[in-house]
Amino acid sequence: MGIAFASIWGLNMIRNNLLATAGVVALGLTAAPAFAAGTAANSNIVNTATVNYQVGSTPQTQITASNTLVVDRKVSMTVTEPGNAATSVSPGQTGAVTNFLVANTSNATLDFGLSAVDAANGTTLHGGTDNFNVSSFKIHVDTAQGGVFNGTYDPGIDVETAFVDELAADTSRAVFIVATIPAGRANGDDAVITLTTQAREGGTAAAQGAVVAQTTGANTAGMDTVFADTAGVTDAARDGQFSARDDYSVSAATLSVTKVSRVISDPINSTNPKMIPGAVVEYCIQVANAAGGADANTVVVSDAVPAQTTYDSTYGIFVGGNVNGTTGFCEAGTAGGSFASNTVTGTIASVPANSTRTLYFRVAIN
Amino acid sequence: MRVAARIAAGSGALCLALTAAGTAQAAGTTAGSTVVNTVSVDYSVGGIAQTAVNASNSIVVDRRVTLTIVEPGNAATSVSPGQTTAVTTFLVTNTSNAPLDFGLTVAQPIGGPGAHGGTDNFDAGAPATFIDSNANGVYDAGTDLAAAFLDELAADASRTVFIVSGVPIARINGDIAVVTLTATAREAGAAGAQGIVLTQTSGANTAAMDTVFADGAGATDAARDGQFSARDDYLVSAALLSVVKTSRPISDPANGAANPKNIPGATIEYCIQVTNASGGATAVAPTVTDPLPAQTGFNAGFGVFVDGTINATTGFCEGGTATGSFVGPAPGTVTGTLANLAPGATRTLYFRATLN
Repeated sequence: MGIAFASIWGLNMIRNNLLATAGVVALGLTAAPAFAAGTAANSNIVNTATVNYQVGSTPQTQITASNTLVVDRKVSMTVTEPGNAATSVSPGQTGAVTNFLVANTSNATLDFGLSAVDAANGTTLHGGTDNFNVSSFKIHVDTAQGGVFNGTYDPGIDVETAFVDELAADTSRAVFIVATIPAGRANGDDAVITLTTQAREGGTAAAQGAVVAQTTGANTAGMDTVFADTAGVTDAARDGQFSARDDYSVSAATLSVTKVSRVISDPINSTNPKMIPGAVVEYCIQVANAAGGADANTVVVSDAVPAQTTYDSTYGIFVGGNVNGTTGFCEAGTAGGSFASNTVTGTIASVPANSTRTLYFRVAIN
Repeated sequence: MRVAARIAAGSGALCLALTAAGTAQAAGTTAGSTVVNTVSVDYSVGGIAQTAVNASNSIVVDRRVTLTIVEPGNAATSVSPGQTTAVTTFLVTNTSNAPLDFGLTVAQPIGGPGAHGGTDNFDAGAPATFIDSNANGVYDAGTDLAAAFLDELAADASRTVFIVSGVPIARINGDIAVVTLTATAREAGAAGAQGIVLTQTSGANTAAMDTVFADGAGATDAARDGQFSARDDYLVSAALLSVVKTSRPISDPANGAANPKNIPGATIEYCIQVTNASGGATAVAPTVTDPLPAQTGFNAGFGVFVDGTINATTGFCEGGTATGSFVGPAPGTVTGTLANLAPGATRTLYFRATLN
């Protein structure tokens, strides 16, 4: 999901910061802090045994033996989609952002290569079924601002990159897929995106390391590498990769417009006016947004006044009104809009789904 | 004297009158005793017996000073490194014909051959002489008292002397420390006090008791010097203990038991091998103490096995009994006591821990 989950992200970041702080404190105490990810890879665990004994009844000088064990590297990671809900997008939207969270649950600092694919039609997620591909997408990684990773996509700040650089053990980083949605997609259309991350060697900042290889065969004296990741949506367990999905769900507005007119008065009749020359006619334009879609915002209505009529500037233009349920004619709204070049123009700020907004004005019949 | 001698020879009635103190011992006639020799001449004049005439001669027995020291076992004294009461036993015998005090000193040569083979290569710590006060020939701590001299040792009497010293803890098997006990003849003097060193009478015999050194040469002293010395060796009999510690992963969360690695969550087995090399002493009750590293957690379900063996193929610990102990709090300490470890034997202690 998008922006709506920024608050959750904020919480995550606070927790991560606390973890990082705790880690620093622990580093001061022991060489290998006890993270959830476990003892740091390639750290030495020295264990010394002491033997006390006697010869006859005389205690002898104790002897000792040490064993140094090199902690092997457990490579595991997860990718989650924090909101666990489709990202609602509009047809034609650029910069449509889905959030992922890549967590390094290894006991070593690693790079994580990032790749994304637009899933095939028919893939289901979050109740939707994939039926289109986005026009294009790019991968951006949350980039620190003032040392803080805010977990929220900031255009121009969160860089486009193919990997998460030097992700420390037990830390996570937000990854954003930024896509362009084709115009013309209908409400409920769905595009599933799969993000896969692959463990790569860390150690060199700002450069993507080589793909991590698992140590085959028996344990060695040096640091071995063991893949311990579970299976993601499209990858297997213990493959040094993890994948997760999110989908773009198109939330389109299905607008329809209706135009009606009625005679308000004529020069002759005081009641039951007729559309005779000189009569005043009200044009009522009704913009309806069907149920189930998105709000239609900034709906601009343009209406060229017929040549046989004259715009009634005294009455003006009413925008954002509604339809009287009994008469079916426009009412309410606020005066606004403009008249120029014999054309009435007005902007309805928003037409929510399953509702109707109106623009109306009056003319005199020539 | 010519007359007396002639007559004595003719009569054959020479009579030696020994003093009461002069009992017949190996050491001989007691020094200072007087030997009186009286000659009696009976004669007649014209067939009439005359009053016998007598003549007497007294001689004072001079003091022959001689002594021996023997090391009764005639074998090196086996000691342990760090032993505080390492005892060698000597027997000092007064073979003089007088009761004497004997000053006792201990020396330790630097290098050189051992008394019973080998070569001296260390000095025992603070050697002191103790007298076998209860005369049982065995050192009894607290009963046999330290003394720098043997007091009033009668002629032909012997007394056991112990050299008691400490063995440095770091000495190894086969190390030898030679100790030399030297006894110096001294005037008996008053009981409980060490008399002055004897001096030999120089020049001609005097009428009084003279002193003659008649001792043989000891280990480090000359003949006829009023001293005698003997040596013994402390021979270190150490256990040649060594300990080796190995570890191996038993399982890990990803691989299980197939080629497990030391990743977090893995079960690690620590194998501690205690070996006593051949040729040394038995190591008594070796106790293994192993504080667990902070990055590990003790596997209580597995326990601590002691008196295990080594698998000849894998080189890892096996067998034994789960009688070791673990004391927390985490990470805690593993301890276990092995049975006595004979020379040439290996025993193991092993346990498991989980890598954090």
